[in-house]
Amino acid sequence: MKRNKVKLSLALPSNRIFLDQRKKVAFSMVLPAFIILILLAVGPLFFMIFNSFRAWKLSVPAPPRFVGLKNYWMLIQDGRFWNAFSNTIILMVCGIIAQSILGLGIALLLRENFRLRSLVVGLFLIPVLIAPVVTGVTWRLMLHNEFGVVNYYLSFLNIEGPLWIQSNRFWGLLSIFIVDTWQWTPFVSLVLLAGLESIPQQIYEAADVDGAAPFRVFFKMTLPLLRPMFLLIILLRTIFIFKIFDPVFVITEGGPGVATESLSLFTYYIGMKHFDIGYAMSAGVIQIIFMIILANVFLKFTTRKKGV
Amino acid sequence: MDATVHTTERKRSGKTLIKVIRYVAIVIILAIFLLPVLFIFGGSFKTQSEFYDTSPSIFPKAPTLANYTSAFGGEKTGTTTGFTAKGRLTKGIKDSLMISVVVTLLTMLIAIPASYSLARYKPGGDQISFFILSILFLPPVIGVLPLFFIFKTIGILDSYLVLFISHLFFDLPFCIWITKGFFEDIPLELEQAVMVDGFSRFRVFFKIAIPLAKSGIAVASLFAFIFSWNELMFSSIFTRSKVQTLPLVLQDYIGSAGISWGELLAVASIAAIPGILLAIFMQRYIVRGLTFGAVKG
Repeated sequence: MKRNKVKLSLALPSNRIFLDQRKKVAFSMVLPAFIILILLAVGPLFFMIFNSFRAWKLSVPAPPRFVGLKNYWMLIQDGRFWNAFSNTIILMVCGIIAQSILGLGIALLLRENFRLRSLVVGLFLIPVLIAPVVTGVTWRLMLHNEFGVVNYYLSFLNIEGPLWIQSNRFWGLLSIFIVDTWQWTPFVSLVLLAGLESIPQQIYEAADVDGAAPFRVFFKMTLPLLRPMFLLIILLRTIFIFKIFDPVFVITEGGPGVATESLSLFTYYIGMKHFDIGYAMSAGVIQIIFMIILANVFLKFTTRKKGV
Repeated sequence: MDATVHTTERKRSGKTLIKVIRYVAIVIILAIFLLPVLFIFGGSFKTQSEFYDTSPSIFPKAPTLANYTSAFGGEKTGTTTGFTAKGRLTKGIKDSLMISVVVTLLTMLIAIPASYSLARYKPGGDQISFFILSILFLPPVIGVLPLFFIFKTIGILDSYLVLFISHLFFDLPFCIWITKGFFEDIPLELEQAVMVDGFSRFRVFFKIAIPLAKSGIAVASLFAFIFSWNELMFSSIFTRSKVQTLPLVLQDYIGSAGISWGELLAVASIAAIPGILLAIFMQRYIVRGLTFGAVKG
């Protein structure tokens, strides 16, 4: 034992050659990934920022020219942009609230171990991993006003089903919200389940000895202890819903008209359908700024948790 | 004495009642969440007329394999792309498989050394880690538009290469972040101990670190595979006719006039299989993956 210790300290010399060599190895291992990501992400970023100050329409033969902040100025006044912005925020807020509540309920149900639990959990995760385009087309079919199963089942409850995606902004957004909640609630509930399982059993035993009422235990102990998990879920769902694209693209295609566009879809259409590149780039820059703030929050959150 | 027996008995029967209610609730919720999945597979065996039934059901009334044969044989054409109908699905499966496998291998080849280095030596402090994480948070649409013009200039649009490269945009940061977490779990003392025994840094990496982090590497590669397999936006922008991934084939069905729903769901069923297998067999790691390692689950 003692011999080992001596050897260890010998093996970790602090001489410069050793450190220099270590540094070189470390950097050369990261380098390929670093270069690729610079080329894939930072290159486009500069391209984007540069062109957000230019008027560049592919539909017009005129060459791109520098216009200063005009794209941003137009964006601020564009009702379509704000519509997409508020859609994204609505989906975010409603999605996070619904998925947290439902997820918590399911996590509590799954909390106690039972036979086949791992199978149930596995089946439960299927919606998360199936391609959004697959679930999107399926839901589109299921939500069909005439031939869809959803309206058919609603008719048993004497509810006349709406037109869903074809009708208006409200029902369109609701459709996307339903699909998003269906897809992500299992994930949320398993994060919360992991949180529940990390709570030491002893404190429940102590509460039991003290004769605390179950609902008091739940509100005064369980929920506060789940706080970090809820924060994590809010953060992750915010990030994911902020860039929501596939479900909207497949289910409503942003329609009717442009009523249910998300920010990503708006940017996509402006760029790839209207070919107004400069304008799309300025919308992109706004989203990047928002994302950088979120990434910072996430990093602070995860590093702090490790420290505790 | 008599009273205590009575209360414990009542308590026990109350507990079984709660248990029964819990199981029933679990079954109902599971049914609701799996309904759309069953609908995909059930629908893929339905005849076209069944989709225009005003009392639709999940399961086919007269199961038929016609959807699969016609999807593979290819009578129907997608409208937006120029690819000939024959063998469209076969090509979709082949292209999707090929892209997912190559991208996964490429990603892991680059990600494993990078994540090990970031976990062990922390070159450049936390800056590089942060940079990698922030790419993960970028909306892909933001990368896609500029990349389209860059790839167009280089002249690699509508090729396998363009998807190999562009899928690294989301796969690479993700896999680095996940495997980094697994490498960090390996106790530093262990590596130091074998270095004392004369292992070189490379031998430590290959003989100690990689074998110990192999579950992490497996998890990361499966995620990389599924992300590439499911990806729609990049392939819809960067490729047109020479390369056709499965999500793109599906997307085209919607646009086509007089959708053959059964055929669409047959394609959807095939596209859904990897995700389903992964969900069932990898469930232990999915939460860890999807929270970017924040929950060790």
